[in-house]
Amino acid sequence: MGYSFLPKFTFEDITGSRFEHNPWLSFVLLITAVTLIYAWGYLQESKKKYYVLPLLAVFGLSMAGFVISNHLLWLYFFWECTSIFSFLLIGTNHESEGSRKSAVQALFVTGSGGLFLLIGLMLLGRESGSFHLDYIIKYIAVDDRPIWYWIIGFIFIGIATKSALFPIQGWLPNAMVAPAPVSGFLHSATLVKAGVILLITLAPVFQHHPLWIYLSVILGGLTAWYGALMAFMQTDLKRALAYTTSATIGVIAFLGWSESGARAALLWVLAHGLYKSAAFYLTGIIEKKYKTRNIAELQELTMGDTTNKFLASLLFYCSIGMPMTVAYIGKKYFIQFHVQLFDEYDYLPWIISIAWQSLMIANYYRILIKPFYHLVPTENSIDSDEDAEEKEGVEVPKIMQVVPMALILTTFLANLRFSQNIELHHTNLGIWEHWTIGAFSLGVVLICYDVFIRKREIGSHPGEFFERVWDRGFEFKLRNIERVARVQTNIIQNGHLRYYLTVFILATAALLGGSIVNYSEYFIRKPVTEILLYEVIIVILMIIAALKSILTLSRMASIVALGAVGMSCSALYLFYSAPDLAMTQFLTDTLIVIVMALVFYDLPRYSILSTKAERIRDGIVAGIFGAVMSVLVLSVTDAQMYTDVMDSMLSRSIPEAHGHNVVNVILADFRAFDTMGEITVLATAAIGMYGLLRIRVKKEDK
Amino acid sequence: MRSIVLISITRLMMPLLLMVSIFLLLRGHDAPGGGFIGGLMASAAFCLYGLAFGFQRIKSVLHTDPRVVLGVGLLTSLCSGFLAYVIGKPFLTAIWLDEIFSGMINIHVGTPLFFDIGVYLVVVGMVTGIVIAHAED
Amino acid sequence: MLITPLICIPLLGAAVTLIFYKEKNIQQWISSITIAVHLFYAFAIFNMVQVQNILVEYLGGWAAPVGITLVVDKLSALMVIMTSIVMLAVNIYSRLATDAKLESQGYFPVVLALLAGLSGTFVTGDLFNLYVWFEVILMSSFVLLSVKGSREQLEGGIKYVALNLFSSVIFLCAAGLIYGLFGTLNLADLSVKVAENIEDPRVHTFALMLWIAFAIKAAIFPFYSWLPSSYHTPPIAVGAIFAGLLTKVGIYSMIRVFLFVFNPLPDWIYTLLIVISLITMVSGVLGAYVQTDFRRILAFSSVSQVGFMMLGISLRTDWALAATILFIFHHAFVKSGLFITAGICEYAYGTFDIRKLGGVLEKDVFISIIFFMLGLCLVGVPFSSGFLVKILLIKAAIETSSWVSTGVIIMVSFMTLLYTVKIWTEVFWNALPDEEELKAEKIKEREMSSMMYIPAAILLLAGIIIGLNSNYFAEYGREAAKNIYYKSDYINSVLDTSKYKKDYNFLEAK
Repeated sequence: MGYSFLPKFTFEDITGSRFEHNPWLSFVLLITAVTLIYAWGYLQESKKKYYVLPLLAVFGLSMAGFVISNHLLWLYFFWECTSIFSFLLIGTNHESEGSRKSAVQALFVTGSGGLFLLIGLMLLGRESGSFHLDYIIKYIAVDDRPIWYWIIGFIFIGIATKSALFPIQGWLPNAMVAPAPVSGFLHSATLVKAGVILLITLAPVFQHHPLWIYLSVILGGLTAWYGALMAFMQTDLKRALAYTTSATIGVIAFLGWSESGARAALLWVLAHGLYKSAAFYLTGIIEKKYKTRNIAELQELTMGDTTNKFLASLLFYCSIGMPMTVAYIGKKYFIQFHVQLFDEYDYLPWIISIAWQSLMIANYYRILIKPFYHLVPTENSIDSDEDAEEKEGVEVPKIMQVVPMALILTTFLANLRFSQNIELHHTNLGIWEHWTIGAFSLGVVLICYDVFIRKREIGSHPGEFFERVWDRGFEFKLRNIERVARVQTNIIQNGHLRYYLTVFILATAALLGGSIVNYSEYFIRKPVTEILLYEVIIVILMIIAALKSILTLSRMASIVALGAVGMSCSALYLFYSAPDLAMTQFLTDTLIVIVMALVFYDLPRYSILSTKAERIRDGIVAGIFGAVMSVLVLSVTDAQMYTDVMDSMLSRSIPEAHGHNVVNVILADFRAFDTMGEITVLATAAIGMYGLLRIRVKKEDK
Repeated sequence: MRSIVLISITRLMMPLLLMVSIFLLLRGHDAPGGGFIGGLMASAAFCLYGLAFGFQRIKSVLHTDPRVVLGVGLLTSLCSGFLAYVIGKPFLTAIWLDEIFSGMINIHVGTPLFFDIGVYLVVVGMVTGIVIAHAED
Repeated sequence: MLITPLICIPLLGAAVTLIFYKEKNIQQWISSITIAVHLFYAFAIFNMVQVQNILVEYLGGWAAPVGITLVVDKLSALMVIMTSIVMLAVNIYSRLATDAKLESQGYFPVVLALLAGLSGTFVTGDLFNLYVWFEVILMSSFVLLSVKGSREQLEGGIKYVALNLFSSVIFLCAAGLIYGLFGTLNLADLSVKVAENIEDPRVHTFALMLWIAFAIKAAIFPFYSWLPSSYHTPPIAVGAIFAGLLTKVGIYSMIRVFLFVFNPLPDWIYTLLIVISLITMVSGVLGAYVQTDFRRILAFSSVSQVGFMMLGISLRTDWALAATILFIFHHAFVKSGLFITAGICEYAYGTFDIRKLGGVLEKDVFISIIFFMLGLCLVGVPFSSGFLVKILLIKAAIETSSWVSTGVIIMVSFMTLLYTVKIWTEVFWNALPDEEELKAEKIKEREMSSMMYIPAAILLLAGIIIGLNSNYFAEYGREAAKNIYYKSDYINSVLDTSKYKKDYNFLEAK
């Protein structure tokens, strides 16, 4: 397979055979085009125009890329693009904190889902032996190895986060802080559809796997119901629309998991995309005109607005799936799928779906009819002595009115295109009638309830509880991450050098000491050579001097004692016949003592800053480390296995390098490059010292 | 706090120490010594001078800023390495005058010595730089 | 092909700038020219490596293993180019955001010495020589870190130098011990001799010791504390170099010494390393999440990114190592770029505190776009450099059935997104804080030249180029990784005398 899993910029990888006969592509492009027109009108006077319009365009393109991409990682690329651009778009009004929060929330949810999707796709590609979607769809079938559970699980997390399926749905209504074109485009027609589109695309591969079926059916059903119920409780037009979107997506997920339901799901996506974005755009117009999205307040304001009244009514007709619209055909397919899935005489699923449909009818009534027709006065009608001017509303650009109109028209046109090859079983027709009649009559009942019994449209409603649970849960999670992060950082990075050093030393000692203890027979050996008297004396001298330099209370004594350590070291070198080293050590120590003595006068008074316990602790740490290092050094004493390099240096020093002093030949010829590095170190150190010391001088001048 | 004894000793010792340091530098290739040791010795001489006459006056003895000494030292070492390129050998290859001009010149001098001179200069530049900078307050 | 110029050109530049210590203008020009020449030369070497695979130079004409050998393989060539590009970008930045005090303190010669040290580290084939270049890097970076001499910088500098000196001590001891056992310092020779004694527990211990030395340099848990305590203190012209290049030295040396020479070690060591790298990733990312200083967020982020690189080393497949190599490469550009972005924000709006910054998106679209794209590279959005390395790492983790690693990679990537978005929302999206508040804090806005975008844009471009040519780089990284794991190529080119005569026909004279 090599590195072929990395996507290339070839036609094969980008789209392959998925380019042709791709129903999604034209859908996405159409919606993108009308959205751009609408957004141009919507934002004409706002300076955000230059922010939103390009982003909408690239978002549309990445969505188009998503639906056609063939290579799994191209797919992932476009998937992530949609997440990122939607983040930027939701945060259009980024000056307000709520807007930023919602954007971040959406990104967190979809972003984390995206990462799961990535793992799922990687595993899928690995199991299939190919990363090309068309190949996978054609040839790969699941079996009951556990890996497929993981693959499906990961991919489904991605789908669920993107499409806001049931437990992860909360970010979608929050994302409604964005301006209308963004909400209409992203959160009804395209972005949230990406998840279910992926579901439908992968259906041929996974449709026989139980996990896939259960996840889609159960989560889809729950989302559908949750969305429908929540929508019914909303008083804000846009939030209500968001929840109905969520509900419909639930149904699409419910349909989309198998090939037989795919056609129904496809039609639902198309139909819903068209009428729902039209509804969003209409809401946008109304909001711009009357500066409110509250259903009850709008009732008072929209009296004379015939254009929008007409549009809304037409939309209502489309959205509840009346004949001549795409949604109508979609419903027929839905019934057909339903029959395949459940037994004809199994009443419970039928009742559930009829109830859901009636609830949706009532929802669309509340969104599209109620704000425009003042049937019964509500309790909280606004004061009537408002200016007439305000009731007229603000003039909006004409182009904005055209766009929902065009979308509605398209639903009718699309109906013509799809109704030609409709192929429904005759037996279903009876069910179809029962189902439709049931749904509509129940819907009328719910509408009556809404009109005559439920009058309050302002204030809290029971649905807010769930929303609060989501928001609180999200914030709680963030705060928890932050708390854990703060605690660990405060422990590890507490700002004290002595603490860091202790950790470094102990960790090193533990790592090295561990292996010493494990293999002690290799490390602890008897010394081979005899220990001579002068060695003992020098070593004792060194130890005493070192202890003195630590324990003394006089700084001068400490410096001198350090010098003594160096001198003893130099004596040792001399005894081991290394005169060069001895001289160097001697001179260095002399200079160190001189320089230190010079600096000595400028240092603050000597004082003891640590407690006795701390010093004992430090002593133990240092002792452990010293012991470990000593054992290591002893383990290689007289244990050299190879001497070829050393021998050749010795033998070649005089004839080839023309030098009798091997040490200097090594320094200036064999390994002159090391010396070169070392003098660079010296020069750099000198520059640094020079600079640092002079800075202090300048400061004191002031 | 100028001490007459120190001054007179320094007057005596300074040239001696510098000569010893150069001696150490030159003989390094064959006997204990070399650029580093020589440089340290010379620095010790300068320190002594500084102790006696004040550290600022080291600059006048050096006739230049210690940083220039550093730079020249680095440059000398590098150039002794680059010389090998001239005769098409790898960097730092030793070239001996008596080998190249055999018969004409009989002094045993080669690029390793120049290299050592560079080391010597860097060491001197560093130590004098530090003490001069420190003395400037 | 000569390798030494990679080190000697910057050294020469350092020497000359030292001699002209009074003329800031001349210094500036010399350093720019030096870095440009270095970059050019690095590209020449890079091209040569494509043809010859491994380049060898015996310094002083002393054949390995007697003398010091410089070796450039694919990994080294990549590292040198990375160093050079980052240095060039930072050099441009330092010209535009001039800092007179910094420059009068020897900024230019020390930066050139640092460049020499970095190049030396990446091309040397000798253990002790590696140590020497480590020292050059340590000393020059310490000087750069503290030379402006504010209290904060000295504090950071002292922490930095103390903890890194500990690393040097460990490294030196380990090198000495290894020399004590094997009597050689040449890496190729050493790897032959180590392979003959790979069962010896002393070898494992010394390898671990070297690993600790490198781990401190690379800032790996529990050795990373020097990094967050020092990276936020120096001026950006220094901080950007640090962020891009310093930790890479440690990771590179781990690959070169720990993986190449001491391979294979017992399994428990690698398992331990996987655990450590996972902890590093998580710990760093958590640290980044709570910071409010632009540079501190980036510093902690470096820690977690280093964890990724370490993971690639410990997984021990060629894909994983390829991921690490490319990670080094990509992260140098992205992190330096982000530091420069932070620097530009500070230059223009007067503070690094993300709570006090705001509204940058409104005021300065270019820098916002650059930051956003660099952030995407860091997080690893497809077709950015970060995605390439993460996907390779995930692939390697999946293939070694290391499910915990896979999970942690995902989690940490997500957290990376969190803190990047945090910067974005606070600095670029958030409305500007009150004018009065700013005045109270004495935060001033400065006019900046539009040329200042150039360095950040260069680095961003590098990241994008990696992302777009992911297939080429993946293949290149894999070849480089193979040179590490299948070491006969390297050893043959360094130790084989017949090849050696072909390159330098003068040597039989010796």
